[in-house]
Amino acid sequence: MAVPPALARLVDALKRLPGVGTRTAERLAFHLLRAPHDETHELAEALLALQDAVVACSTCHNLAESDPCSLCSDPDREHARLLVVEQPRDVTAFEEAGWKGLYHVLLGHVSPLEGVEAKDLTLSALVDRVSGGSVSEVIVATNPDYEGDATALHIVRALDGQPVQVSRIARGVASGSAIEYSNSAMLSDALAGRVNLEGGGR
Amino acid sequence: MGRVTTEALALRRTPFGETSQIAEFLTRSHGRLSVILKGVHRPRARKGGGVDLLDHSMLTWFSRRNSRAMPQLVERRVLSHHPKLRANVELLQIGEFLVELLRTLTPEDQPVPRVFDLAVATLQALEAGPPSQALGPIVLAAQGGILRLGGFEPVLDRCVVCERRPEAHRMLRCDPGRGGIVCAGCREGRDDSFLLSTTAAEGLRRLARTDPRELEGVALPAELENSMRRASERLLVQVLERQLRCRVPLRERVA
Ligand SMILES: [Zn+2]
Ligand SMILES: [Zn+2]
Repeated sequence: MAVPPALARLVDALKRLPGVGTRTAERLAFHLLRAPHDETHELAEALLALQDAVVACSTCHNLAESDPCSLCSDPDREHARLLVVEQPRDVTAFEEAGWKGLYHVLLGHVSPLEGVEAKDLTLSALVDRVSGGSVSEVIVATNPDYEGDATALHIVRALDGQPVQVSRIARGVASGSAIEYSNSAMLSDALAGRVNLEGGGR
Repeated sequence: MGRVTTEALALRRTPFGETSQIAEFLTRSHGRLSVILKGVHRPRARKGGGVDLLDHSMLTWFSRRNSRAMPQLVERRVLSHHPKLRANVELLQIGEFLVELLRTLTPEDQPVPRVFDLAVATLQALEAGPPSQALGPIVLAAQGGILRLGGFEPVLDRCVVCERRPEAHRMLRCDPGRGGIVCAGCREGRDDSFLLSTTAAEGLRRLARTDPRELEGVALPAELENSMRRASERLLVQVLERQLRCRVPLRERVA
């Protein structure tokens, strides 16, 4: 059966999305074909509005509707503490976890294999923010993987000599998980990042 | 292939769907091979969690005979995650350089036990926390050894054309395009050759035959090491037919 050109065009467009293969693209396309008119209209409008309505905050480099973003301009947040993350979606995760300070979004991680160097990230903007003097603590929350480790070390190097406390989030056994389900990398990280228990021992 | 268990180093990983991953490994018994790891990002994944770059693990996968479908992970036990290497920028960059070499110079689906063992030995040498002057020799041993075992070794102990051996303590001309040393009698007008001392040429040859773990206490004279590194980079670019993405991160040593 020949596929109508309009359907083939949609399948092709969907296939360009990350993680979407031919079969998933076809399933989504057939779903949209049968969906109510309002639903497809809403999706199409949302896609078209996306690039006009989303800007990058020039302070924290997160995606936002305004510049500065609503987080950077919120007087109730702790402006002296910065959480450094790789991607805007990490901001969403830490917002859900209840972080009350501000963010700095690197827009990637250092990976020469992918052609990304430290200068391609928003690292110099971070140094500028910190050397402005209003930041007292920087917490590095890059991913606990090879590129995240490299990126964290580049951040530490870039902030060397600045009057701020720099730390990296702990890593190890996931809360709510169990030792027996943790892999050896998680367990060795958890051992390396152990904390003292108040009142225990000497 | 059926069910296969072998040692592996992770060279690449790509997210697949919400909870799965596709990873390319250098395996000891099957060369480079991509494996699908289903559900490894689920909170209670039992197969050892997501793969990280250069993880050294014991891998078991399953693939149907005569099927073109990607092999599936059955079990993975991490042997080393290289914690010391991962706490140092230079070592991390050398690790990425090693990944690029292995991605480019190893075959798919063929046993490569000696290249594999050399890669593991290199990681162990780095993980042991060698003094900084040993890093250059370790990198040269890894690079030279991988080229040699892959059949890409330049000819450095005699003229590529007439096979005459050079006298000691001489300056030689090395022509990457012709695969090594070319004597004065065999040079053809203008070429892309560069000067290389017999000591540097012999040093490169010997390092390509040395276990990187034995180099912890080695320190080369700075000028000699710099010339060996420049030469080996030009020889490597000739083999790869392109510049490396991961430049060897070591700074030129000062005498
Ligand atoms: Zn902002
Ligand atoms: Zn000759």
